Amino acid sequence: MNEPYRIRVMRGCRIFRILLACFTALFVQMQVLPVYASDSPLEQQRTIRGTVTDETGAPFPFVTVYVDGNTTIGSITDDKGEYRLTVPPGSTICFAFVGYKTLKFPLTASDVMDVKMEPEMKALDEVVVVGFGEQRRASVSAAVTTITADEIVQSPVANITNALAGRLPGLTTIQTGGQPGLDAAALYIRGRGTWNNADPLYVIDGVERTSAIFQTMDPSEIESFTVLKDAAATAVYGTKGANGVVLINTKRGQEGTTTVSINSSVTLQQFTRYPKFLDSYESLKLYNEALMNDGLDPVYSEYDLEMYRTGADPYRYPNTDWYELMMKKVAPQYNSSVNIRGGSRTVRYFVSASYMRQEGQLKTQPGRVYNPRFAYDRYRFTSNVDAIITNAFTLTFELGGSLTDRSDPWEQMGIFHNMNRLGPWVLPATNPDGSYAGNSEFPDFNPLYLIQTRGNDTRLNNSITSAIKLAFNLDKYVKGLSINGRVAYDSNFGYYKGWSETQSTFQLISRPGRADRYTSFLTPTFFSPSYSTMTAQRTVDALGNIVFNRRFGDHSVRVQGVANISEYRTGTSIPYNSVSFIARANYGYKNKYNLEANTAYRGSENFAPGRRFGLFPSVSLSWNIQEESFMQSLTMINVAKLRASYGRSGNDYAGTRFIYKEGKWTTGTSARAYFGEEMGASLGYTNEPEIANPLATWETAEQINLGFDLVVFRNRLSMSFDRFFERRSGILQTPRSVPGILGIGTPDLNIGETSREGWEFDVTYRHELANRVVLTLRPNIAYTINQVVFRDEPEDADWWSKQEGKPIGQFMGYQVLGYFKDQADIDNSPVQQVGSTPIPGDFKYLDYNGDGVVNEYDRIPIGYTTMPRLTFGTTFGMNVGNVNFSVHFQGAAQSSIYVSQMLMWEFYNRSKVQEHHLERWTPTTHETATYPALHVGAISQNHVQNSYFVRDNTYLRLKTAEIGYTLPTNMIRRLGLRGLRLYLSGSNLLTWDRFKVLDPEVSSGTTTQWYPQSRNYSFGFNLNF
Amino acid sequence: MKHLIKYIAILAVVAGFSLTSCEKFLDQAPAGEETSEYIFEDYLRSIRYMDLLYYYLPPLWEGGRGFGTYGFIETGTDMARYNSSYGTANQSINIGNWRASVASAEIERWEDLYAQIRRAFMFLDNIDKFQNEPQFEGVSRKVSMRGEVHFMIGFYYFELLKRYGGVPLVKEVLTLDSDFRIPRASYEEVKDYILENLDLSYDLVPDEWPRDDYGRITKAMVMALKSRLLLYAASPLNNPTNDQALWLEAAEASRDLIDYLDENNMHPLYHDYQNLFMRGYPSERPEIIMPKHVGANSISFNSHIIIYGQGLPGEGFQAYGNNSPTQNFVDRFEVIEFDGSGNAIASVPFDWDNPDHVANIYDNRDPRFYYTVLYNDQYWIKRNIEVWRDGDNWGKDYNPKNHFYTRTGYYMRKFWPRECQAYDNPGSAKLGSFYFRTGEIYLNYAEAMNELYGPETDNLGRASGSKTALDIINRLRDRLVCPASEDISGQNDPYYNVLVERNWNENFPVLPNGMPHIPSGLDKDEFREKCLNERAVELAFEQHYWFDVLRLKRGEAHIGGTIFGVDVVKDGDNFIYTRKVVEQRVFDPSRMYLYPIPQDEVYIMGIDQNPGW
Repeated sequence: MNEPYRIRVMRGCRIFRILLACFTALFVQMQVLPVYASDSPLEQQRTIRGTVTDETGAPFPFVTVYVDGNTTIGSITDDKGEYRLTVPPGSTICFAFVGYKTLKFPLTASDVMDVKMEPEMKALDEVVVVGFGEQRRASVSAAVTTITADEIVQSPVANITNALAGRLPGLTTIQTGGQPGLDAAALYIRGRGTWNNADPLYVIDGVERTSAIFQTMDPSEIESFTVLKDAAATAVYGTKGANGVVLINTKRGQEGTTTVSINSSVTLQQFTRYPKFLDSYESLKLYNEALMNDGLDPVYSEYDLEMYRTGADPYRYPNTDWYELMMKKVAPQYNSSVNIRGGSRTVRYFVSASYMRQEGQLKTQPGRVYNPRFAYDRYRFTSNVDAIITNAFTLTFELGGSLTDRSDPWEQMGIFHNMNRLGPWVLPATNPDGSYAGNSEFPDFNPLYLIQTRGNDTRLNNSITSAIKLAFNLDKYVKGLSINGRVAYDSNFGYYKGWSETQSTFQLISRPGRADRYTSFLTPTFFSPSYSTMTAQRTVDALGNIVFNRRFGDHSVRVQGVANISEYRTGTSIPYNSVSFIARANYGYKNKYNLEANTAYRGSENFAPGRRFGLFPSVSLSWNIQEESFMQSLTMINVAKLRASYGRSGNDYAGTRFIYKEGKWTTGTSARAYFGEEMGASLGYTNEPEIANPLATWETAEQINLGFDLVVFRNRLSMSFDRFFERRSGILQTPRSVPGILGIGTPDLNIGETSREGWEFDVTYRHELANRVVLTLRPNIAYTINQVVFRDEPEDADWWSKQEGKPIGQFMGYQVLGYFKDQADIDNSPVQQVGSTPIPGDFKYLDYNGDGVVNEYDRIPIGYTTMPRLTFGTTFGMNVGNVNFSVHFQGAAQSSIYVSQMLMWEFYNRSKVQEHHLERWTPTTHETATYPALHVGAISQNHVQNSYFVRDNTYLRLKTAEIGYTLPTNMIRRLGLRGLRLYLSGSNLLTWDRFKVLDPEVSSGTTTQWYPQSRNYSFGFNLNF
Repeated sequence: MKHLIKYIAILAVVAGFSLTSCEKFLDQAPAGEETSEYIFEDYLRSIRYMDLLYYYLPPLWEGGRGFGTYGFIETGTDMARYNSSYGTANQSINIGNWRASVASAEIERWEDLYAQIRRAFMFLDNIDKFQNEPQFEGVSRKVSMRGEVHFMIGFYYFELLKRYGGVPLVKEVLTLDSDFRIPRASYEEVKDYILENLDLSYDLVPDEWPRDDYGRITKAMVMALKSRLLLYAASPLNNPTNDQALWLEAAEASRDLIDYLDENNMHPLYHDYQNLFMRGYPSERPEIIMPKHVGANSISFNSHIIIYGQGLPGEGFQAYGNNSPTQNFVDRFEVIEFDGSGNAIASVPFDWDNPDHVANIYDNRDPRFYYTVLYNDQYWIKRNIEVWRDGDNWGKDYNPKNHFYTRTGYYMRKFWPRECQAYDNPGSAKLGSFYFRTGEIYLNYAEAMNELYGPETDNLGRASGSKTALDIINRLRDRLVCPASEDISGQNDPYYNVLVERNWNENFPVLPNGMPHIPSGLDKDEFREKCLNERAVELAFEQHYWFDVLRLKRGEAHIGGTIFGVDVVKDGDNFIYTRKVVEQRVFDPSRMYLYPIPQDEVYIMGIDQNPGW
């Protein structure tokens, strides 16, 4: 992206249009690029020619024809499939095209060499991972998107979730922070369909597992990452499927020689963006101005300001830039992994071990007893062994584990909170004698003091996942019948160790004519180490599966039955149990028509008998049009497939456990009300619990998905389009039509309803040019919008107070009309009952209901929600010989961000001011002002949720860029290696956005306890032998 | 094939077994025995439920409830200013930003109060279920328990009434199936319902409780609530036609209690005004009619309040000094005039136009001043208070660049327990605050009698003789005795604390006969002002003033208006005091006399919102 594009973004041009423009430009370039001269004047050379045809005998254009081992001589076939190439004698001629076998023929006596290409494998024969099994892509009729390991591994990120951003259409990732070990992005499939838990279900190697397990996985161990989006794909997960399902499969062994692959990288991390605060002098000038705006006297004299400006007395008149003082220039991160893959006819194995260390960006000194740093270490191993015991019996053993060690300073995000809050003028970091500075208003706010002296905590976490799988092929008894089963056991154990202490802070007191002295704050306390087991989790999950899969002439039939039972325990809580039975039938006719019907019958312990089990059916249909005879003449179309599905799935989030049971009346002896002449007698207390909801059950999602897949130009260009509609009902919520005079907590009822719809579009273009130049372009874009259909709101409520008809989480606020010009403007405008009495330069708000008063009844929907409606990404890759280059862009649009209080407003709770406050309204700058008049009070006309502070959060990011070099084969062989690749890459490199104050993915709200996201620069290598 | 049949049979059996057993597998919820049956079959568990009615009585400071985390409700008025910028709600009221929408219902108590009304009826519904209760005064404890609960119904409805006016009268335990379209009852209906409950309660509760039950409802408490309720009901906000019958009811109710206390020699005025709020168990301060039911040594609770609410910032104290009394309030304390031989002859209002008053600003004020407010150069905890400025320097207790220091030039002393009077580790306190004390009843009576008959007439015709408004208010002032130092015998002298105070503070007046009387010969209007001033001074920070301003419809003057502080300039060893403007406050009389009902309640029940919200 260059400067003109950036300007257009800022002016509000829709980003996806720009993307389209980029794609078009790149496409045009690619058509121009492949021009190769091959007329060499050397006399021994021969010119050969011929026609290349495809498997049907049709002419095959764009086939690369080159001389083996000599990348400088090559050509491509024209639209008649013909080529011409001048080659040295004794050459071997190669014919290559993506998706087709590369053919090699030595020169013969004839100058004419006609070749018929053979497809390597039809795209439709690829196997796609689906719930409880696999399917040929040709027969898949649900909305399923997959990416493979190669695409994920590109960027050495600390958390795998961040490698997924913008890679799959319909998968939204939001990374709200960058704390080592806690920097995972939240994943949402097709946005949000409920205001309750909207997290997808994670299924790793066929077992439902927690997102935490997924987040500790190393990208190099992952074979494929699949997102199940529509109900036809997720209905089999019953009460867990409504928010979409993420399937992760790890790599497995392969028959053949053992390969060892070593990946290692060093990454330098930097904050993408952190707030830019004004220095003491600038800040306090504004502070005085704000005081005067509030009708108060300035408290900083000219002398004070001059002292702050010159920095002549940095202890009494400090100017402390906490970020500058505490931030490292760069912080390192190391990733390395070893993967061993191999196998014989009977045993295949994949073993992986990896280590990752991520250091924090704040400077720290190890202390006497503890090291208060931010750091995260992760050790991880995986071992998948498949043993083929007999022809009909396979035994698989899978074992995965991770050990993580996260260290944080005791105050954690409180440090960032105070870095963001504490004015540069308030405190020096340290006093002349080296002690940490504090004062009576801010005794324990000094961020340097907080990180360095308050202590440290470490969290060790051990996680084991394991599974034993048995598969029997019963062809011997009934052709096409197989059964398999497995037991999985996962265990997670966390251990916490903390040190905390309090040291004093000191304030330098210097008064004229007296010796300097120090006042101390805070009573020191000694170390108090604390130990605890944080979490202990255990899951046992057993599954039995029977499959009948057979072809009868033109008819293919597949019938499957699954029984699954699981128990999840965490801490000392009552187990979370689930039972499900799944039935699935597929019928295919001549590869043309595929029909699938499946249903899950699944129950959860969290609901009452009778409300526990639900039936989740789905049906889907696909039509491979290209198989029809009338399509046979259209050879440019390789796949044209229509898909349609309808299904139902659920979300069993219930908030309260056993919401159906009458709650426990709590009774205790600990004192509440006291009696007696010495006020020492108390009998204890008894409390009534919340009312129960015996009818509580899961929420239900009904989805329709229509899809179209197209693969054209000899598999070079493939596209997929999906359109979906969803209706959620029975969302648990507290009824708003029950008044507070009930006097007790109201239970959640299954009453909420939402709707959701959207589309996804995914394109993959891959073009192989002569001389081993391969271009790939993979853009995707998705759009989702949701709406609250019913939320039990009081009938009489005004529309502005209702959520019905608005998107989930719609921002509401006052519409800013501009700034009040002068007092007359205020007097002539509707009375503003918003905050304090407005002054000239404050926001003027719209009196929406026209009653002459601006108050809460005039708040209207403003902006969007935090969940972007439009998400997009694109990867562009180019391989030129041994060099590969790729960039990946990702972005979101039609979303809003509302950051308030300390990071947006001036002097909120004695906090700081930033560059955007310089552009404030004053009587002299009223024409150019971009920020209202400043105030010191916590309440003002301006500091409310309004259309100024709810900002457009459109952004586009250069998420990753990589350049790699693969060493030439002959050089590698001499070293006894199979392959060596070196690369340089970066992530979060550039961001174009409209918010600009903070990273656009930062969460909305009063964010100050926020660890900024990272920009990473990496160097690494992949070594195979 | 044979094998296959066998496999299928086994599978079918396994599947069948798992289908039947999976319901059981999902029966994980614990069998709960702690149901309402279990609670109400036992006396102890039941009374624990009832006793929380005491616990949830609104506290003196609306901690965390809208007047700032540690702010007294008086910070909403011209009595005090809330300093910290953290709790912003009272500032919100001060600047007129008091809203009806749920998101900003600043002093929202609605649901909490109705929750306790539910508790009361839930208890009454189940009171017959337990049978193992003890006897009290020869009858079942259930009798007095009913009395306590009826009092509580009255108390909680009064808390609603004084905030919102007439509210929906819920007289049962509501369920999810109830019809929630309950209309608002009128002010009179709620008042009558409260009186009905108080009358029931009066007959069931005892005059006194045994030692360990001190603090439970007594007849005096019932009468005290009635006295306050009827005074509010007769006040201008609720009695726009100035119906004398309402004043008569109010006067009668207060007089009933005064006579009852006099006859039984109960809850006499406490001689030591300062320590009424600063030390000891409530039972040691017999003037207290109804104590707050906090523990004697709730360390965290009380010391917290002291540190943040009253304490002084700076000096390692880390308090916020949140509740700063204003100059408006300080000016209410009268200046005592002495004759040539040192006898107090009169008390006059402080006058900024009187150079003598200004030059000796803190001399010879009403003694309650010294016990309520901390001011410049007053000795306090081993040193003098410093709220002065001197060029670019400030005293220890004043710093305009730091939000925690007072803006008005004063800090609050009342309710700062003696046990917590330290800078570094304020420690625990035995302070218990209270809901009713005799002083209030006197003032209720004086106000009602003046409205009925003027200051010096008693036409009630009681057998106990004549008690005019003036008599009673001077009774209150007579108690403020400050003997000359030489007349105080030693540590056991009841006025020993006056000696201590005078050793610290030479401004402290000598008043061997108490405060000079309010003179006779005032007319009704003049006396009303005297009476209300007495009320503000006597009952400062006891959660009266805010509601008094509202019921008297004086919001524009005392909730809105100009807030003054004092500017103290140090000049050598002298201080120069001038009055300064601290802030301008906003009061909107078209709506702010009644609290807004939470907007959702208005929607759900289809009731009328209070005017203007």
